[in-house]
Amino acid sequence: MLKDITLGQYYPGNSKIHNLDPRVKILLTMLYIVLLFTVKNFTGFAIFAAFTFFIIYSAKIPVKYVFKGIKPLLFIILFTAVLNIFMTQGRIAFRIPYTPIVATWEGIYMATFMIIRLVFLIVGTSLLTLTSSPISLTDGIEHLLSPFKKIGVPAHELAMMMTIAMRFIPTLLEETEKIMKAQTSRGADFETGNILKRAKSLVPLLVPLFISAFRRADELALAMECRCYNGGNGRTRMKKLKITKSDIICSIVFVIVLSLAVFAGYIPFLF
Amino acid sequence: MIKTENLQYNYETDDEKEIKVLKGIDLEIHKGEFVALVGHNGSGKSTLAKHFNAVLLPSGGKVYVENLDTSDEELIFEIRRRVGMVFQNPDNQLVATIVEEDVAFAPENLGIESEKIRQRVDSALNAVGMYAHRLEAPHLLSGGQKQRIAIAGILAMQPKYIILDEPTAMLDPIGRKEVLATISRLNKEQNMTVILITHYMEEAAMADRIIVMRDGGVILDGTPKEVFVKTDVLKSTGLDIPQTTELMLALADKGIDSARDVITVDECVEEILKLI
Amino acid sequence: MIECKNMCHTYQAGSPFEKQVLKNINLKIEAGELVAIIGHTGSGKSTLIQHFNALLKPTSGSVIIDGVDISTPKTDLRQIRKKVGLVFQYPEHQLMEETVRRDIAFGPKNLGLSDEDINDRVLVAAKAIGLKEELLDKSPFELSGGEKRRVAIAGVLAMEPDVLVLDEPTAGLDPAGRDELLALVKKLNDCGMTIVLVSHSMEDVANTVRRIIVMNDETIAYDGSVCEVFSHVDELSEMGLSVPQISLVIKKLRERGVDIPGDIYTVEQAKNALLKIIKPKG
Repeated sequence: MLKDITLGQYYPGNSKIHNLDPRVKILLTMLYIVLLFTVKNFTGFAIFAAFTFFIIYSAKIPVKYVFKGIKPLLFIILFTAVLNIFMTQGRIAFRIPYTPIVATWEGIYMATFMIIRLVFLIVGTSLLTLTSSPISLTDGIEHLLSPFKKIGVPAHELAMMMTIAMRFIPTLLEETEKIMKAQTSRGADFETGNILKRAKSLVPLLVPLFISAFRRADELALAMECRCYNGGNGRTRMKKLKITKSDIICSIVFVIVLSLAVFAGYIPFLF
Repeated sequence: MIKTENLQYNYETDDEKEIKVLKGIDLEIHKGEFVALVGHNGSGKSTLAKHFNAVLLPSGGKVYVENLDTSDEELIFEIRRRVGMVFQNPDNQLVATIVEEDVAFAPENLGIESEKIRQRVDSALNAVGMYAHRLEAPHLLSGGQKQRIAIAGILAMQPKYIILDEPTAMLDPIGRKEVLATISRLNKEQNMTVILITHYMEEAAMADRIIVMRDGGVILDGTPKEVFVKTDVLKSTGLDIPQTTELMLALADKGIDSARDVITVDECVEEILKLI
Repeated sequence: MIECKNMCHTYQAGSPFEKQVLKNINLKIEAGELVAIIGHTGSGKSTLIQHFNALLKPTSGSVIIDGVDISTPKTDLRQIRKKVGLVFQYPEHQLMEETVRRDIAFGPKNLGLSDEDINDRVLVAAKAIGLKEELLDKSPFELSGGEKRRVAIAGVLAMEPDVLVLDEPTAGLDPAGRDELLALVKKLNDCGMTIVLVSHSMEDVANTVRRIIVMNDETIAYDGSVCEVFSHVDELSEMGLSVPQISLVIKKLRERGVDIPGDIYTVEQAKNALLKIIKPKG
C-alpha cells in the first residue's frame, strides 16, 4: 500500500525540468500554489492546466504516474466538494428528495473550483518531488532558509535531519518487516481481527522498532562525530548549487504564463 | 605515533559502582604498522580504540596522537582528522542517500573547498574499488560494499591512522574478503597505519602485530607467530587459534618435532611435507 | 518432518521487478536431524527457511510440514508455526518486554495458554537454553549480548516447537560465546529436537552438524554428510564460501602426492591421520 503513494516520490530522469536548480523549483512551486488560488475563472484554469501538462511532458514523466498521486487524497477531495455543493447559500439547483438538503448553483460552481484547485495543488507539488532528488531538495531548502538563520531558524539542522530521515527510511522499513516476521513466527497475528485488535498487535512491534531506531541514532551520532561533524559551522559542500541560464529562462516563462492565467480573471468577457 | 601512558578508564554505573574498563595501558603504535587488537567481549579493546581518536577521554593517564594530547579539547578535530574510525554496522555509519555524497561528508565538515572535495572523494572511492557505484543509494548495496563505502568516507579525511572496530562481524565470507583485501591494500600500498579490532584469528594473522587484551589490560603483544604459540593463554582468554597452528601444536604434543609458529595453510603444508 | 518438492519461489511475480529466488528445491529433513544450510548472501537460504514455517509460500511446487502441505487453502498456519520455530538473525534486536520472563512468554501467550502453563513453559525454555532463573525478572536490555540472544531463542523455544530453525545464531558473538551457543544447540538436538542451522561459518558448522545442504544460485548445490560436502573444496570456494583451513591443508597435501583420506575436516581427524604417516623421531 505504501508503494502506491507517489506523492513525495522521486522519478529519476535527466530532463530540463530535472536539472533545474532545486531552489528555483521550490520557489516556483510556491508561486504556483499562490497563483492557483488567485485564479478567478475557467479560462485561467485552462491556461494553468495546459502549462502543467507542458511541464509534465518536458519532464518526461508518464501523465498517469503524476495523477496517481491524487488517489490517496481522492476521498478528501470529494468530501470537500460535496460539502461545498450542499452548504453554500444561493440559487437552488436541485433538492434531494424527502430531505431539506438542497444543492445550489453557487455550491456546484464552488465545488468545481475546489476540485480543480486541489487536483492542481497535488499535481504541482508532486511535480516538484518527482523531478528533484531528495538530496537536492534538502540542499535547496537549506539554502533558502539560510538567510533566516539570524532569527534563529536552524536551517542546517533541519536539512541534516531530513537527509538522515531519508537515508534511514528504507532501513527501518526493512527492519519492521523482519520484526513482523519474527513475531508472526511466535504466534502474533497482524492480519485478522478488527481494527482495534490489529492496532493492539502493533504495540509489541513498535517497542523493538523504537529501540532499534535509538540504537542506530546513537551509533550514527558517534560515527558522525568521528568524521569531524560539528554542526553547520564552517561546513562546505562538494556540489555547489548554481543558477544557470536555463533556470532564468524557465523562471521567466513560468511567471509570464501563470500571470496570464491570473490576469484572465480580470477580463470581463471570459467565462 | 599513537602513544598511551598508564591509560585508565572507569565509569560509574547507575548504582554508583565504579567499573574499571582499562587498567593502566602503555602502548605505542607506530606509523605504517598493521596492528590487530583482539580480546573477548568486554576485554576493553573497543574502549581502548575509542581513546585513540578522542571519542573517549582517559580517566587517568594520557593518550598522545603525534604528540597531540587527546584530553586537550582544542585539538579534538585535529586528532579526529588524523585518526579515522570505521564501525561494525555499516548501515549505521552512512549519512547520505547517495554514495558519493556520503564519502564527501567528512571533508565537507572540515571546510575543504568543493573542487578538492571532489578529488578526495574520487580517490577514496577508487582506493576501495567502489568508484563505479558512486551514484547509487547505499541501502541497495551489499554489506561488504557498504563497509567499503564507510572506509572511503574515512579515507576522504586523509587520515594517517585508521581504526576498524570489528568491521567484518556482520558480513558474509565474500564481504569479509572484500573488506580485508581493501584494508591490507591500504596498509601495503598507501602505508596507512591500520588498527583492526577483531574476533577472528585468521584476520588477526594478517597483521604485523597482535595485541591481546583481557580484563582491561594487555596480556600479549607481538608478531602473529609469537602470539599464536601461546595457545594456553589464548584459549583461556576465550580466543581461537588458527586451525593450522592448532594442528602443528597437537602433533608436537605427540612427540613430533614440528614447527610451532605455523600460521598460513601453505606454511602448514610445507611443514607437514618436511615431516613425512 | 520437512519436505520440499520441486519448490520454487519468485518475488513479486508478474511485476517488472520479478525475481526468482528459489528454483526446484527438493529436500527432506527427518525428525531428530541436525542439519546446516550454508550459502552466501543472496543464495536463497533465508527465503528457503521462511517456507519452513509458512511465512512465505512457494510460487510453485510444495512444502510439506509434518504431513501438511502449507499451500493447501485453510491450512492452519499457526499450527505450522507452532511446530517449526524460527529464530531470525540478531534476534536480540527484537526483544520488547520489560522483563525477560514476559518476553519469553510472548509466544505462549499468543497460543492462548493458561498463566500456569505459560509460566511452566518459560521456566523450561529458560533452562533449556541455559538462562539462570534470577535473570528472569531483569529487563532484557540489562543483559550481555550473549544472554540477550539466549533470551530471544528461549522465546521461540517456549512455543515448544518440534523443529528449531536458527538463522546465523553465532553472528557477532565472540569465540567463547559462539562455542557455548553451539554446545547448547547440540544439547537440544540430543534431547530430540530437530535443528536446522543457517550459517556461513564453515568452522562452526563442521564441528556441530552431521549433514550440510549447500545453496548456490537459487538452488541446492550439495546435500550430504559433512565429509562429502567439504571434499568439494574448490567448488565451495568458488561459491564464495570459506572452507575450514584443515580441509585446504588436506587437499593441498593430496595434490602433492601425500596418501591421506580426502574427507578430513577437523584438527583432531587431521592429527590422527598424520600420526599414521609421520613417524615420531627419536
